[in-house]
Amino acid sequence: MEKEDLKRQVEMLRLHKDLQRMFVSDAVKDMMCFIDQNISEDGLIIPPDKKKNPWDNSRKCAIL
Amino acid sequence: MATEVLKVEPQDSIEALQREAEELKKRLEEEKAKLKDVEMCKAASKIDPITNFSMKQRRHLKGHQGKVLCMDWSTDKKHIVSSSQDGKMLVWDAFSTNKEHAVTMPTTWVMACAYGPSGTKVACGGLDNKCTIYPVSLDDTDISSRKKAVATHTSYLSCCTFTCSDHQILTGSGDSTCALWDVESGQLIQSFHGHAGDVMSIDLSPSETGNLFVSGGCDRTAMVWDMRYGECVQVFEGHESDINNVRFYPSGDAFATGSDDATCRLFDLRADREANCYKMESIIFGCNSVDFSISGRLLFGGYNDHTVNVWDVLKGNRVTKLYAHENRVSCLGISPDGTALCTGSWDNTLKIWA
Repeated sequence: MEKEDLKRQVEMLRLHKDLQRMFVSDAVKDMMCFIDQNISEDGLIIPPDKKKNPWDNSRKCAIL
Repeated sequence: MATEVLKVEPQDSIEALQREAEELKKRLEEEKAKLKDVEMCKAASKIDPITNFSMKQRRHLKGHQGKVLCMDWSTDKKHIVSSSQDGKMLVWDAFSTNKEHAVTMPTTWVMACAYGPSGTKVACGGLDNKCTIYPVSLDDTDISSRKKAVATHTSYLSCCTFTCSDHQILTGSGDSTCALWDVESGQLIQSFHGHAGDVMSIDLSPSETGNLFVSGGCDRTAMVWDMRYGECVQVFEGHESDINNVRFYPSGDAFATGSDDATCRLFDLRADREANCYKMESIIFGCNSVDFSISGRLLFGGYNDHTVNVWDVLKGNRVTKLYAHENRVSCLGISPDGTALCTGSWDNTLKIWA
């Protein structure tokens, strides 16, 4: 490895050492909360009515 | 102790630097290990499992004459841009399956394409080492005449994405760097050095401040960068082979990776470590592309065995497996409103699932 790259890596590692970190359990709690708030809008988990589903093939208009 | 040695040797000798790097890496690993106080699937055990999941093929987009390598949705939730190995970029109306624009690039393997946030520009590039921007509007039949080369790397362009406006574009390259460019002047604003191998994928943070992006590459490493300073703020390791794709979690607090090691992983920014790994013994082929459903509950992975595996992000189990294509699934993406999944494949076609 080039010396410049090495220097940059050490500087980066020094910076990362002082990072504030949270426990995985707390991160998961936040994630569950986010999902809870948004799941009702998630059309791939709770499919919309056929009428409202823009991708439903049977909804095509006939051209007269 | 390394610190005592450092006093004697000049601080910036290669040996001293190497020693310090090793020492710091070890300490970081210890710190990160302490934070895994629970398995994600255990923490989520009380959550209801996903039942009755069903997804059907709704559209089949045929028109590419070569392997589809990349796709992106327009913010209008209707248009799609895709690029292929034969040097073509196509703009589709995904509802009607009509091709609205076709551009022939002066190169094969157009590995990257992206829609601008306004829906009036697309960008693409590949083995030409460049990122070229085209205006798209229905009245314009020959968009090639109004192209504009913006970015130049010293190796192939693997990925590109506009930032929150059409004025800046972020690129990733086989030259192991990422770069931010001004679209109007074509000038380099910031470059990002740190990967020790080809950069394969980048994704912008969806959070409001919007200054972070993540990159992943052939050094098996994912890096989170601050766009303003060109600084790598976090490094995530763990994959045993190339990272092919990275995608932010919708909240911006985490990101997923897809890798040649046949796993997808979830890395949490605030815990600064891997939070979950999505794998099965029966899955032995690499994963090329990942994306989340808009609630963040599902993770879609496109694999070399022609399938899409759908994972429950929290519980870690596979919800279903789609026999999606007749060749490897090279790219996929959820529409901006979350109503559909688009997959692109080496079978030369794209499909819409909902």
